[in-house]
Amino acid sequence: MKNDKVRLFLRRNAEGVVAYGVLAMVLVLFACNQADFFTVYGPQSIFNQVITLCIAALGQTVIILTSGIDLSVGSLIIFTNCVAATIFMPLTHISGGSIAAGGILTIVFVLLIGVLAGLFNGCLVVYGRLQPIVVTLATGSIFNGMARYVRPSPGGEVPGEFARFFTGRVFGVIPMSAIVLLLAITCIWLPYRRSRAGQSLYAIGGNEKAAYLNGIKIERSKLIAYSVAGLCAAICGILLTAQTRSGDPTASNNFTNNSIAAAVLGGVSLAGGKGSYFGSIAGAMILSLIVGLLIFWKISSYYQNLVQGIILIIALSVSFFTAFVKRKREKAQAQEKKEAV
Amino acid sequence: MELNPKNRDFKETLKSNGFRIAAMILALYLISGILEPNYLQPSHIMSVLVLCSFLGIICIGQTLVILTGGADLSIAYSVTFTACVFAQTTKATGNGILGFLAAIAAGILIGLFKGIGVAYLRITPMVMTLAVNSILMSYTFLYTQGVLKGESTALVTALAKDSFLGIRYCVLVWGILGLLTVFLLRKTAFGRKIFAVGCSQRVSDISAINTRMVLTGVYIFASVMMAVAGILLIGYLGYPNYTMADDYQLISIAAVVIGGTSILGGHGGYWGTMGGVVIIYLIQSLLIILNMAEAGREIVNGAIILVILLAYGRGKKQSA
Repeated sequence: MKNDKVRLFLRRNAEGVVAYGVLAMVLVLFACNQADFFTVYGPQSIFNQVITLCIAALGQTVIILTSGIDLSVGSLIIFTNCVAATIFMPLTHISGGSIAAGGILTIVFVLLIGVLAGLFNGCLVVYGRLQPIVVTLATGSIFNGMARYVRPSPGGEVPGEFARFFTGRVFGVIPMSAIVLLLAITCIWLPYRRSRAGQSLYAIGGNEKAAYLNGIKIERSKLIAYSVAGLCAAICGILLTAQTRSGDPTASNNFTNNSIAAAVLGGVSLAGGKGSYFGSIAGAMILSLIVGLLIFWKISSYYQNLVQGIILIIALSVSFFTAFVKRKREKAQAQEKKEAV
Repeated sequence: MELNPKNRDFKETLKSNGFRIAAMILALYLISGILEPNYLQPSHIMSVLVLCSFLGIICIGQTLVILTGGADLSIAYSVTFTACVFAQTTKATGNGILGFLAAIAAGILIGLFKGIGVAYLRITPMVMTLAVNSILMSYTFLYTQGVLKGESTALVTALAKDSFLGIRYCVLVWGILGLLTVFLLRKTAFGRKIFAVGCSQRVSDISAINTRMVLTGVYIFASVMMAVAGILLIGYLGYPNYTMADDYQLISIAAVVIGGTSILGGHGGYWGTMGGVVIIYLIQSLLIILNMAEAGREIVNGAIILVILLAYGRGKKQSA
């Protein structure tokens, strides 16, 4: 009985299981190559490497579940990054020179911007009745322009305390990035997934017309989904600000590509309605840790995108080959049945 | 209320895609002409058309891919890589024709790779092309070893810069390729199959269309067009550059959609895209007249594309 349950779970989450298998392999390779892997610094550096993409992938996962796609994540992250780096010090001065108060004000303000930007995307998709891919392509250009407007040149000032808070450890052991990831799971993904709006994500992605006929409030659910995606991009922007301690409007970043790749690697179907954030986390970790491995092996950084692209193609072909094998087996079984009759 | 046939015809013309695009082009042209009278001169029209020709040739590929229901997100490095192949081979062998052949061969290989992924491994086109873009990006750096070598040949520079009866050669190339594409889409079996696959891959499969071959063919054709655009761009710029095609990614999709091709596939055509390309560059030149900084230009560019799409690219209202 229990065995059946396990098997059912494995079959239902086949792609996710594959992703975690690959992640385990990557971690083993990491353990072999990183000298301080088993000290407190190991997890800290690993979580600091993966956290930004993990958060970006959360927003992308939510959008992809509605069978949309968000090509504006990268630009929104850059925009929020630039805003955070620019307003941090002024806000600190306003709040009487306290870095904590300034930091909290900055975070609240940037998160608000993120939600509004996401809502803007959502309104265009829902009320404008446009395809998500073209909407986010256009808004991505707008966010990029706004980032350049806020910060014409790279720079800005972010106090070291803020950076250390987000990249350091709590109680000397637990990496702050791990806590952020845990918070993203327990405070955003799980409650959202269990709410009516989160449940309807799957219904909409599965079959929008059927969802509509069943009385699901499609417009509201989509607006919430895009707002959540905007929120995630803003969180990612804040974390990026803490890591780089500056805002750079010209930074070429792969967040858009990699967040889609992470979700797809984690078994989220681009057709919508299938997958979970837990898969995307594995996908995001694989994609960001691969970069670390290449550095360990002293492989030229030119190979970074090549490896990421090939992993993506292989991961997607795996599901094709498993489906192919399954089809063959079913055919053989049907043949056997026929012969038995 | 009965409309007489003539009246109805007129109304339908007003509503048609071609009319809307023509009206928009005329309006944009007149507005920029009023703001900056120099822009009404033929020489300026030609310089806008030259810019249009590169995007236009890239958009031949993008239109076909979008018609099959996908979207090519690998424009940036498909163009850059083939351009680098052209420049480097030309420099190494000293023979422009060899460079041209090498670039086209690279285009065919890239297209074959994308086509196999999309048609045979059934990877969603957007993800497949995204992955191919990553791979090509790395490969361009590896191929050039981080140092861009090579330059244009006299012939290719002439194609991009010289003119024939007042029309630049690259605009002529665009026109000829465009006409061929329209002919391909409308009059050949392959072209009709592209629309069929875009409407429903399953139905076309059942209707004995070899959808895999059609898809692979589309991606190969698209990538070859990107190679041609890459070569012409080299002629225009004089030397290769890693970021030379980055901007085309967004505006190629925008131009196709503004031209009335459905992003869901199956509806549209290349005439509309040509109009979309011209609209995009008229907007850009308008923004230059308004003397806008790059930040503002990016914002306005995105906003205008949204407004145009809101004006006529909207989907149907959800209903029972």
